[in-house]
Parts: sequence; structure tokens; C-alpha cells
Amino acid sequence: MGACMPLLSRLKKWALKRSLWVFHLNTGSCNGCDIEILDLFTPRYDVERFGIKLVGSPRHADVLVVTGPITKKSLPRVLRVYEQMPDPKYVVVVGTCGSTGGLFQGSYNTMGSVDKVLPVDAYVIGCPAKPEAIIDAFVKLIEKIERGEK
Amino acid sequence: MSICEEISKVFGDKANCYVDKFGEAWVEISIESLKEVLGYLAKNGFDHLSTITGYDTGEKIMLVYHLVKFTDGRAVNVNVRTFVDRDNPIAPSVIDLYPSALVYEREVYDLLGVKFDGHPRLKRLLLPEDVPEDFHPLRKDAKFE
Amino acid sequence: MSVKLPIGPIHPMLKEPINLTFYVEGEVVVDAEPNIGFVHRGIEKLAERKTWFQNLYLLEKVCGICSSAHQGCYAQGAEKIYEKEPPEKALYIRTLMWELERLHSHLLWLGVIMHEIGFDTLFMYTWKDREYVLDLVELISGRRVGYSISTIGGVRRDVTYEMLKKAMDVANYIAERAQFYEKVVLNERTVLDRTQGVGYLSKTDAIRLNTVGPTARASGVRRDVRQDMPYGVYEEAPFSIVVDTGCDVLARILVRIREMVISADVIKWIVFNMPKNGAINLKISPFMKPPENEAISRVEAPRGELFYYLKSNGSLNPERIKIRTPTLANIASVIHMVKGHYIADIPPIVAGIDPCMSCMDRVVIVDVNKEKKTVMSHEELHRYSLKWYKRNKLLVREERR
Repeated sequence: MGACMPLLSRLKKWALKRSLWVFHLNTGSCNGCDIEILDLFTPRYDVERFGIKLVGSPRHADVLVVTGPITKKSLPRVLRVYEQMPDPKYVVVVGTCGSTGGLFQGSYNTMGSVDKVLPVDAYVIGCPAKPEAIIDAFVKLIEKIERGEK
Repeated sequence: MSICEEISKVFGDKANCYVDKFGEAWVEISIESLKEVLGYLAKNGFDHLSTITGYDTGEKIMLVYHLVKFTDGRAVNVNVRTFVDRDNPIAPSVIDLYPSALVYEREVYDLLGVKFDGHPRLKRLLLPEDVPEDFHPLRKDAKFE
Repeated sequence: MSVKLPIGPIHPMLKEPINLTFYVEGEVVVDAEPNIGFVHRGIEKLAERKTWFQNLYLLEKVCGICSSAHQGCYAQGAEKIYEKEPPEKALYIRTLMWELERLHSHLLWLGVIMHEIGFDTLFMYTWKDREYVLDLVELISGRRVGYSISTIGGVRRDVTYEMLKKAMDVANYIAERAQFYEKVVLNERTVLDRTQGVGYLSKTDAIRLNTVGPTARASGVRRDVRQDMPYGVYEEAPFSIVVDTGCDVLARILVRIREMVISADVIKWIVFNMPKNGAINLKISPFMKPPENEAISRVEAPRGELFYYLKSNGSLNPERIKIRTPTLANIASVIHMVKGHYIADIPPIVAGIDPCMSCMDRVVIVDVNKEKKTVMSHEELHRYSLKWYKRNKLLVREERR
């Protein structure tokens, strides 16, 4: 059994990086980043050929893609979604709003950045972030999974 | 007859009507004549309420009702301005004339604290439910933590 | 007895989170109540702290899909406050970007509503065509989404011959594809089953509830800000209003497809009539204080009438900026429209008004009669609605005959 563990963990890593299932969560964004994320699944960029798929429920997801500066009303929902995701889970923040608060710093209804609320694995800056940059983030996330970091 | 002339003829001193430098018609009335004036405009083709703007001047709260009359040619706009007290802001609801005011009045209540008499479900629209009752962000003296 | 059914945002990927509470009896909706505010970022308050020129970039982010409409409407209003008229060529460029935005927005919406009714092929086709529009926009302004082309006093970038030539090609291509989509929509059984007779909004109701945009025009209401309160170059351009009397979701689809053809015509006219020389920007200094004024600006965004009220007190910061987006105006009609429909019809009806709302909430279906409470995510409601229609296709066809 002890000898199987390294093999199992290598198998897990191999499977994970070949097919990342993504759940997209909008916490109050203007939709700019959301339509660029959605663009990844359309014929021009087509990331489904790399195994990256959009799922409808956080219980099936490996990666949580978050956009938006987390408004106070959407905060409970964000925490609930994160709890529902099974381990191992990763969080990618897309857009300047989620990474640093962006234009909405100082507003009475936003939390600021997503990392005040969730542990983040990758940030994609941009307003909105270009699809190429989001794909780059996924590649870096896969490399991170390879290296076994958390 | 332009809309300004018409309103001055019907309401006389109760309404102060003028056209600004951009061609927009403004009507200033007291809060008591609000329903009367809006009722008259609603009956005379001004059936589109764009929105209700609320603004805290520091001394009073200004409410502006932006109305449009669509005709075969150019549309005619009129903006009805009225004021309510800052300490006890109550205004009559205009839902019976303009059903779309359901949403706009809730917004003004949420952000400025103006209560609309006669609104069936006057509660906050944009801010979360657990925010303190007297927190209205667009007020000049709103406290933020 | 009716049941409370809080329904979260209706599309998982694009709209602002909107939570609608639906009251249902069995499978039929009897009433609804909006609960919004998930995307409320306090922009009107933030705008009071920034300067007139900084607000150009803040207000552009009210909505990423119709960002040019917001920025252009604000710039138009601020030009009134500053009491300056932008140069003619700037108006042509601004209108060009407005129409390109309308094309991209309608193609996006067409894909989304097809996804809602389960017709994913058309979703992929429309989004692929949309990429050509985005390529052109990126060539002109430097960015795919959020073009930032307007400024107070004109536009920031000029157009070259190459850009105008590409604009002609894109306009011709999209006009041709729009004819194809119209043919598909009118002939495909899947589309007709889910959209014909669904979400009925009569002309009197549309006027009474102050509906705006293509939703109103699909109920026979002849109202469009571009025609009734012209701005930009719409007074000279060959713009004609598109109206349909179907009053259902199918009519809304057809109105938007035909509007794409009209937009393509306006773009071609702009390309031919763009002044060859001329200033594009008055170059107002960002440190110049405007006079004390109040101004109102209206623009026809892809979703309907966009309204801005601006007030200046003579300083560098605006005193008050009030925004009313078209989707807020259409919420009253959605509530009216869903009454009497099945739960499975809710996604296309809400998507039919083209809500500029990102969805992220979930649906809670409470059936008072059975005292059972089910919680569904948007994706689950979407799948439920597709499965329900597969099972009950014939029943619904009979009912709607």
C-alpha cells in the first residue's frame, strides 16, 4: 500500500492537469471579464480541446474562476460555493477588480480583492483580461499542480 | 403651445416652469401638488417615466421625475422637480400613474431614505437586508466604516 | 395557494446576479418580485469623488457589454455641462463604435438565448461571427471589450482608410449572416417550440409598464431614442426603426436580428460619409472647471433607453450623477410576463429582455401545496427546463395551437 501512494498521487496529478473542470462565479463584475472567459469555450479559442470544461455545479469543479470585486450581497454565496467544492480545489481570479479592487476601491459595497475572502492560486490582471492571458493563467496553474504546490 | 406654456396656463402660480439653455423643460412644484401635476401630465400623453432622480442638496432632498411624451415626430421631455424635508422625507407614491415607479421609488428609498406613501412593498432594492436602517449612502452625512 | 419561488440569476455566465422570487402554484408561475443589488458597487457615490475626466473610465465599467453606450452617454452629457460641442468627425466615429457595439451585443445575446433553449450549435456560430466584430473593434480602438473611445470633447483615436475598409467587409458579412439566422430561427422546430407564444407582453402593457428597447419594439411599440431624440449622426443616417407585432420571445429574437441588418447599413453609410479631415477632439484640459449646470443625456443602448442625469457645482468633481440602465426599466415587464407560464419557460423569458445582469444565484422553488422546498442552481434550472420541454413537447404544442 505504501508503495502505491506515490503512484496514485502521480496518477491524480496527471488526471487533474489533463482535464480541469471549471466553475465560473461572478461576484459583482461588469461582465467584461465574464464574456472573455466565455469566449474561451467558443470556436476561436476552444479550450475544450485541452480538457478544460465549464460545469454547472461547484460540486463537480476543480477550479473556481472568480470575477468581480465581491459585493457585500454576494459574499455569502461566494463562501458557500467554495465550501461546496471538493478537494483538491484551486481558485483563479480573473480581472483587476478581483485582484486588487480596481476602480471600485473605497466603495461602501465591495470587499476589495478576492484574496481577502478566499485563498487564491492565480491572478489575471486586465480590465477585462484578454482570453490569451486567461489561458496563460491556466497553463501556469497546471505547472503549479505539476510541481505539487498548493 | 409648448409644454411650459400649457402647464403655466393650467396650474398658474403652483408651478414654476422654464426651459433651460439645452432646451429641456423643467417644472418646479411643491410636494403637495406632485400627484396633481403628474396626473395631468399622465393624462396628456406623458406616459413614459424614465426614472426618479433623488439628490441631497444639504438642506433638502430634491426629487426629479423625468417624463417623456412620444409623438410621431420628436419626443417631448419634461422634468418635474420637487423638494422634501431632510429630517422627515415623505413623498406620495405615483405607482397608480406609473407602474414602473415600483422599482424607482425603492431605489430612492434605499439610497436616500425617502419614504413613499402608498408603495406596496417599500424595502431596500440594492443594499443587503442586514444593513442598518438609517444607512443611506447618497446622503451627504452618511457614515461609512 | 401560491408558493414562493426565489429564483436566482437566470444565466450562469453573463448577467448581473439578479434574484427573482417567483410565487408558483404547481408548475405555473403566479407572481414575481425582484431582488437585485448583487452588482451594486456604489458607482454613483464613487463618481462624486473622482473628477469629470476620471469618471469616463469609471462609468465605462457599469456594464462591460454596453460600455461604449455608457461612456458615450456620459460624454454627451458632460459636453453639455461644459457647454462645448464636439467636432463633426468625432460624432461619426462615436456613432460607428455605438453601432459596432450593437452588433456585438445582439450576436452575444442571440447566442445566449439559443443556449437557454438548448440550441448550442447556434450559440457557437453567433459567437464565432462575433469574433470578427471584435477584431475590427480591436483594430480601431486597441481593445476587444471596453473600447474607451469617447472623451469629453470628442473621441480619443482617429480612424484610417484600412479600418474603414475592414468595417465595410464586417458590415456586409454580418448582414449576410443575419439573414441566415433569421431563416434558421423561423424554420427550426426547436426554436419555435420554445419561443413562439412564450412571454406574451401586449402593446398596452408594454406602454403602461414603460418598457424600453427591443423588448418594447417586439410588442409593436414604435419607440427608439435614435429616432425620437436624435443624437450623434442618427438624424442624417439611414436609420429606420424595427418593429414586430408578435409580442413574444420569438418577436424579440426577430427584432434584434433585423436591427443587426439596420446597424450594418448605418455602418456602411458612416464609412462612405465620414469627413476625411477634421479635428476629432476639442482637447479640453482635464483641469478645467465646468460652469454650474445640470444636464440630461439619453442614448439607445443595445438593450434600450439609457438615461443619465448630471449636475455640476462648478468644481472638478461632479455633484451628482444618476444612471438608469435599460434593464432596470424592463424588470416590471418581466414580472408581468412570467405570470401564467411554466417554470421551464422562465429562462427564455428573462433572457428575452436581454438582461445586462450577471447571474450567480440559485433558484429556490417552494411549492406551498406540497410543502416541499427545492433549491436549484441556475444550471440545474436550465437543465430542468430542457428536460421538461423534451417530455412535454407535444402537450405544449397542443396548448399553444
